[in-house]
Amino acid sequence: MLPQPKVDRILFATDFLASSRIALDYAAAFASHFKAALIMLHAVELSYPAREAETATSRPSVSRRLACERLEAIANGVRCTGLQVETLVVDGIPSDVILQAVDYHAADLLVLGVHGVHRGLAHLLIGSNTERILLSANCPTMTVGAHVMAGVDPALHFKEIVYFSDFTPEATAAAPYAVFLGKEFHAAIDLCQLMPDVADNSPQGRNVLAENYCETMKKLLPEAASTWCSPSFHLDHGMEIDEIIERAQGQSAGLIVLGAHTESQLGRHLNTSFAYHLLAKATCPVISVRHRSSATL
Amino acid sequence: MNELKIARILFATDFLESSRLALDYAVAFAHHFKSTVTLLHAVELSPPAEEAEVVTGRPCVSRTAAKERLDAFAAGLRRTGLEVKTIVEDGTPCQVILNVVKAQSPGLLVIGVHGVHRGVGHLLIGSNTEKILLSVSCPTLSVGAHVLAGIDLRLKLNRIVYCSDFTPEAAAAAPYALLLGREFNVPVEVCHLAPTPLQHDSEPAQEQAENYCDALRRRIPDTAGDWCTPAFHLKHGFDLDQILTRVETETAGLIVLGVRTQSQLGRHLHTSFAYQLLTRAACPVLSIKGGQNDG
Repeated sequence: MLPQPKVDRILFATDFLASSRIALDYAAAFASHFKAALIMLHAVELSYPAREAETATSRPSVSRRLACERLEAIANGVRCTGLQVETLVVDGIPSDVILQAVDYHAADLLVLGVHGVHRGLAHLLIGSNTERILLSANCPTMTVGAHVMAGVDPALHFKEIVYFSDFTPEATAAAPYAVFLGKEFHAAIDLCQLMPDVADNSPQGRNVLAENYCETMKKLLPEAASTWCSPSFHLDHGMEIDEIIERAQGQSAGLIVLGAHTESQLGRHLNTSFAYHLLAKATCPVISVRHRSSATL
Repeated sequence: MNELKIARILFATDFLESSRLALDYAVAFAHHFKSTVTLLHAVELSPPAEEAEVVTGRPCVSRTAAKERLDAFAAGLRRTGLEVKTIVEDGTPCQVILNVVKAQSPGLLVIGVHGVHRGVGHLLIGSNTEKILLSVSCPTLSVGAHVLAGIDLRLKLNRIVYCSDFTPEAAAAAPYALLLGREFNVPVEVCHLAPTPLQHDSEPAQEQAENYCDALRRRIPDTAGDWCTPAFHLKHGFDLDQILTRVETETAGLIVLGVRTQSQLGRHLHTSFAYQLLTRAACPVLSIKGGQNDG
């Protein structure tokens, strides 16, 4: 059994781009729901000359000053709603800064805006950065993609939470989290299984896969697994990537919970993978829960 | 026109990410000018969806969802003490916006503008934005995809950049720029857009600049003298990239731009300076149609 998930500290990492504005609405709504402390983080990457100039003049550079002002402005907006907010402007590469902050502040949830690839390499949180964060962060990560719409209900009345998994035991780490959120928000949970390639044409492969999966599920969620975990159900309802993306783009899903694999080939090449497509295309936020070896014990 | 008053602000949204930022600006302006805010969303239903609504007598999912999102916005705004109304109207966004502007004559329209990459499926890009800017009778604040989040609710602008091509039509925006500068107590910088044929020919440029400043002085006789000095502007003819860079390095808070309805430039806004400025600027662009401040 896992310890009950908790959300006491939420880390909101922002590069100030438009998608992070909607991510902020979600971060604030979650913080308000869970009465969590909100930590706002921005990474500044100064050029070598800029850093030298800071040392020489002992005054912050323009970009640091502007970043601090923007972050404070955002924090003040959120403080008006009664939340407790802390701001951090830290030097370094965004993905490093974010991963370190998750550990240092023992964040229970990381919230990020994710841009489409069209934004170009100059921007901070696309592609390989997002990938690295998702695969390495030691807490669940909520990503708010470019297709998530503004007008977030501050009370977070989700009609439905969709839990995506690909049938592997590793992906089951996300299941307890999906159940936890379903209970918190009184939302129905829909289980969608991504049919892995190996099982496509081999009935035997499918059975082995389904049995392994259910074994893990039963260990993780004794009460829930008995109702969820009937292999035949899943085998009949395996979905293709396109179907799942379509499902994620529908009106009813308020939140997607996704099991991400750190070990698999799929995980390593996330930008071409299912998970990345899902993040980039979903019309609701996606919470990725990383499988940790300790979690299955 | 000696004081800038904005009694009503109309915020039109398609709920895409740039309109979330645009809302922050609408709120900040509303607080500053003590304006009421109307939130507007246009729903475009397919004929089958419309039929279904008539048959069942119940609103369809997309209408309900739009209402919920708009109400969520409104609730957030009301918490900050603003007076808010919401409108969900049927029709193409452009037509709906123009109708509501006509019916309510707001002092300011605020919209989010996406980059072209969003594809034709989205509402407020390209030709729509174009049509809105050229047809509405009120100033329009557009917040593009390169505008950053984190604006101060008290709207601390560092400076205002007023872009003009020195034609008398563009001068319509000048009083607005000046009054905004006075309102927010920040300097207004005039950037001259040098039309290409004039760039290397100083005599017509000089003449144009003088005509322009004459037009300005007629509009705001008391103050135009202070900042409208043709010599300075002629030396500093800007092209688009220079203006965008300047806006970024000088951390301008706002660009004010006069758009012309009559010119070829106006009709083909999406390839024009104005459209590029809207989509690429790191701060919002306030566009004012030529002639609308008359009277």
